[in-house]
Amino acid sequence: MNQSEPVVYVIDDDDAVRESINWLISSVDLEVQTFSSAGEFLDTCSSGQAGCLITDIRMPEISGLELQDELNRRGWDIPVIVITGHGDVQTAVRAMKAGAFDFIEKPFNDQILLDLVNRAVMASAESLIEQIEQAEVKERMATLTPREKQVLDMISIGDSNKNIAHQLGISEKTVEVHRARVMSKMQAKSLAALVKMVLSMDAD
Amino acid sequence: MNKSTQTHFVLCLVALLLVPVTAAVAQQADQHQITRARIAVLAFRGIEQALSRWSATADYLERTIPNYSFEMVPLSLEEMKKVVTEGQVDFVLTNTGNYVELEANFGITRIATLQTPVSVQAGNVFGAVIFSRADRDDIKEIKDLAGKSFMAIKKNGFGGFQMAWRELKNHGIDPFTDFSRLEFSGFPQDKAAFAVLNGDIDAATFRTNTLENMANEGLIQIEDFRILNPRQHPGFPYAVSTRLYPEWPFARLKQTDQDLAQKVAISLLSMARNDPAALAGRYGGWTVPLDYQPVHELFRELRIGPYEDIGEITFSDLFGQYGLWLVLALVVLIMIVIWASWSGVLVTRRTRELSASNAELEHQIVVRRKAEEDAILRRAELAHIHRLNTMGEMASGFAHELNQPLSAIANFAKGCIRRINKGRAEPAELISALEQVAAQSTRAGEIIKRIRTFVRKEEPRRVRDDINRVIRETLKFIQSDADRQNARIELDLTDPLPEVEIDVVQVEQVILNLVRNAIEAMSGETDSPRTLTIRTVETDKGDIDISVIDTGPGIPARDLDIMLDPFVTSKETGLGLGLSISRSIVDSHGGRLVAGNFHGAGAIVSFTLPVVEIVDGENEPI
Repeated sequence: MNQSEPVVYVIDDDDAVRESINWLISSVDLEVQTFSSAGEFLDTCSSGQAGCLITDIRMPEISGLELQDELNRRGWDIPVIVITGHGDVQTAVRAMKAGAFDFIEKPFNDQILLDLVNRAVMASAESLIEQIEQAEVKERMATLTPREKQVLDMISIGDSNKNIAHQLGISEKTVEVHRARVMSKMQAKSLAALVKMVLSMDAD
Repeated sequence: MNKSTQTHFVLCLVALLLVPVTAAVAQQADQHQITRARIAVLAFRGIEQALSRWSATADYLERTIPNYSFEMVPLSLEEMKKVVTEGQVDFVLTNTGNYVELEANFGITRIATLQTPVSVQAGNVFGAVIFSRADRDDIKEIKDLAGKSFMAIKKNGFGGFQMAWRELKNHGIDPFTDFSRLEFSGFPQDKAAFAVLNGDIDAATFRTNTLENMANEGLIQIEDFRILNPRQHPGFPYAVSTRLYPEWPFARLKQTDQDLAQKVAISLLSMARNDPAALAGRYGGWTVPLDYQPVHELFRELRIGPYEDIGEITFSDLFGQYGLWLVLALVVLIMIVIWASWSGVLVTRRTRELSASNAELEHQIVVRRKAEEDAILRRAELAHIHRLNTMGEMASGFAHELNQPLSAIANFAKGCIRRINKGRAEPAELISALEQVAAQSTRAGEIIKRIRTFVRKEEPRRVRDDINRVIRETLKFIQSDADRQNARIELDLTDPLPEVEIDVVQVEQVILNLVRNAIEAMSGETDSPRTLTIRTVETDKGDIDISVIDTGPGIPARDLDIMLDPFVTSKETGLGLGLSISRSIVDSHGGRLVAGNFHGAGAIVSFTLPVVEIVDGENEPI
């Protein structure tokens, strides 16, 4: 989960098109991996790698749409850019509804594709960072005692120390001790940072 | 019988049977070597005399013509007619009068004419002499003979009576009514001369050269006789009172072998004057056959021989004898004339009608040819419209197909530019990418060319081609459509196949049409695989059978009959012309297009194309 360099996966059954996309994207210093079929890609790669996927929507065996469905089922949250042919807008819309990052019509402007790829890769990276942070918060949270967890939950919804002490039937002083331990275990530098962590966990 | 004795018995039997067979074969071989030819010869002076006169001639022929034996068959005039009728002989040697009769009645043909023995200019003709005693003052010319007694040799003798008869008749004397007495002496002719000398008879006739011969033999003195109405014929040395007629002919029968007749003719014509045969026969060899027309004239005049029933007739003769028949004949004649003129009119009219209908026929041929050409053009036209329509329907497929190389070109080119702009372009890398650009432009060009060829309006043109190649080429059109429809195309091609002579574009159109139909038929299938099979096989009849089999729902029974008709379609779009045009294209190639269901699962549409006969030569446009 710590591979830094994003990879652009290109899937197209047409050798020339596939290699030309490779040639174009590699000109902006992105790492590209090519596959001639969706099946080959699914067999080779696994989630956890930042990057994006460029796939032709029309392919024998597994089409672009079917690949999208398969990725959703596997919980692989990689941005998918669908290449469509002329007049395939309906198919493109279906792809978007299925969760595609965006679609681009062939033949495409190189800048538009590269921008799309950049956005996708960044989104992928952000998403990946977020995932990592959440995982860390989750880990820290796991170190809290039940009483500390209770105190964290009450702090995050804005309860005062006095109120918490009253509700838990403990002294205000004891609440302050728990609070300091939570801040320390969660590595929160401020109350705001702590609340943000809890919220990100809730959103997940 | 045990087996060995049985075999022995059979062998003996075979041997016994073989003996007469081989004998017969030998005999047949001998017979084959010597063929017998029979010559009927007129024996006017008896059989023995005839044989002694003519046998040497038979010997001569036998001597000069190998592998043939010749036999003289002496016959009387009556017998002569019989053997010729029955074809019992091969040749006839007879007197001139008899010959003409046989020629007229039985089609015998002279091959040589006898020459008289003495070397004279007109040695192959003869006549008759009419004579009285020189001291008879009352008989100086023929017309003086009326009321006198007259002697001839034989009633049906040519030189011995008939020649004289003609002259008598010409002088107004009918020998049968105007003489006090008409006698026939028979042979020898000498008797007639002696009868005149003796005074037994007033006048007589026989053939020329008889008097001279008798005088030469010392039997008579020429001077004792008066030649009545003597005639002068150039080159003819004998006393003669009549016209001259050709000598005896040697004739062949109608059925006589041509080769043999030719050999006999050559042999006779090449006989020397002094050949033993000529000497024995008292003749001077043979000459080319003469014209026997004068003999015919004689017979016609006398109304004898072949002209016995017609003759040359005067009107009074005719009316006297056949008054009633003549009237009838006249009526018939008039009717014939009327009918003939009417027929003439009819014929003219019919001819006009015929030439009119002939012109009409030619016009129809032209019209029909034009119609056929028109039909071919119309079919081509319709096929062309259909191809355009097909291309229209397939446009998005082609757009996609063209997009592939175009996208690739754009990406390669931009990639190059970006690298160059960044100043880190590796020449080897760039060249490789630019080569790809070139390759992809070629690819795009080929797609466009294929589409253009397909939609181009061209004169129908037939060339020899491999149908498998045509199928593979056609699939390039449809592959992207098939992919889009998730239809898999499988090829089950017999390879190699004999060539077919086809209009490639039209046959591509048929295949494309069938494949598109099949893909469309399968588009509703969600559970079963969409597989389309194209199969080629060579049939027993020497045709190529091309089948397109799908895994769709098949063809409903009610559609099977009408689906090949024009404008019948189950689709929401399209003209419904596809199958009907496909069928007409296949028909025009001498093949057959049929549709059905394939083992109850999916449809099968097949068509046949005749295999090209192996002949050298240019492919001709149709």
